Amino acid sequence: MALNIQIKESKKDFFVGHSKICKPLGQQTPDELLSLAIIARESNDPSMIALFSVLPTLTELKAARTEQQLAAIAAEATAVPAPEVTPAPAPALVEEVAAPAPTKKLNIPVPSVPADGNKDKTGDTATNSSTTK
Amino acid sequence: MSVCAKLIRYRQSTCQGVSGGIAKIYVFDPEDFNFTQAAPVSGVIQPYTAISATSGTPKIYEIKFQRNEAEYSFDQSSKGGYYTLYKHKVTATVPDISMRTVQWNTLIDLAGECCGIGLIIVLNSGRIIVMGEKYVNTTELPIPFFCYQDGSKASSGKKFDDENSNTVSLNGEYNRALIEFTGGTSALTTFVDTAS
Repeated sequence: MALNIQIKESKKDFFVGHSKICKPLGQQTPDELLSLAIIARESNDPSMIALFSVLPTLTELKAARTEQQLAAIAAEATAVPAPEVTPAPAPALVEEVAAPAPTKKLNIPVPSVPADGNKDKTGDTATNSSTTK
Repeated sequence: MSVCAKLIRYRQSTCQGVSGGIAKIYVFDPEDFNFTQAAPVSGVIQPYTAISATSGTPKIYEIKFQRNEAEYSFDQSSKGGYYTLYKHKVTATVPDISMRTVQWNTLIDLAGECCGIGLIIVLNSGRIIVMGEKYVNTTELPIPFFCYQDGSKASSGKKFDDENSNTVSLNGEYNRALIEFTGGTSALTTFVDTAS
């Protein structure tokens, strides 16, 4: 049930600080106006009452607030829970290692190293062999 | 049920931390603002729930004090249980003795002599208390709550790193503790002066 609460046209630029807000009455949301209307009725403050052109009774206002709160609770209770996201299977920690290819025996002639030293008579063998194409 | 006096338990929330100290202090002209308060519930006084201007677009003015250098306190006394008095006091240390010191003090002294000083004190606990108000529910308080400056001090210090400040002391006497404003600090923002 939407309650009819109306601010006087002449009071739309008037500021009232309440319920953690302070903005012109003309910019207040229906919920904020409901809070202010309850304040006005509970206090019976003439300057607050005078802001409204239509101001329901305190019983009606509180009923509307209760209804609003119940609706919020119901909405929360019936809210469809977000679908559970199934996590993708984690990659295997240990990758399967391919079986080692059978080794071929290469028939490469190994130069014979003289038993008495690392160098042959012509110089550095390793350097020569690496630059040879 | 008691037929003499209604009583309530002191402190509703038993498992809630509380911070000491003051976050902000505002002064205002009590003529300028009206506080809205619900009627007592079963004889128990209720907080202020709204603040509005009595006319025009008045402002509330912050006292920019040094961090952790402001305090609110009251001393209650009663003679024989009949004559109850609450002495309220707010002190705040403002750095820098300057032209602003004489300007602010001159005006606050005039206010104290003329119509009193209103204070809105935002505690570090999040509570907001009001001192020296005049209008509640568009009606002037039947017993005036008058606040004024008394006991302020200032010192330049002697060395470069000594304190050079004015400790403001605002006082008021009344027959009760201060009433809380439950509208929150956001409800005050439009009224806070940022120009002067």
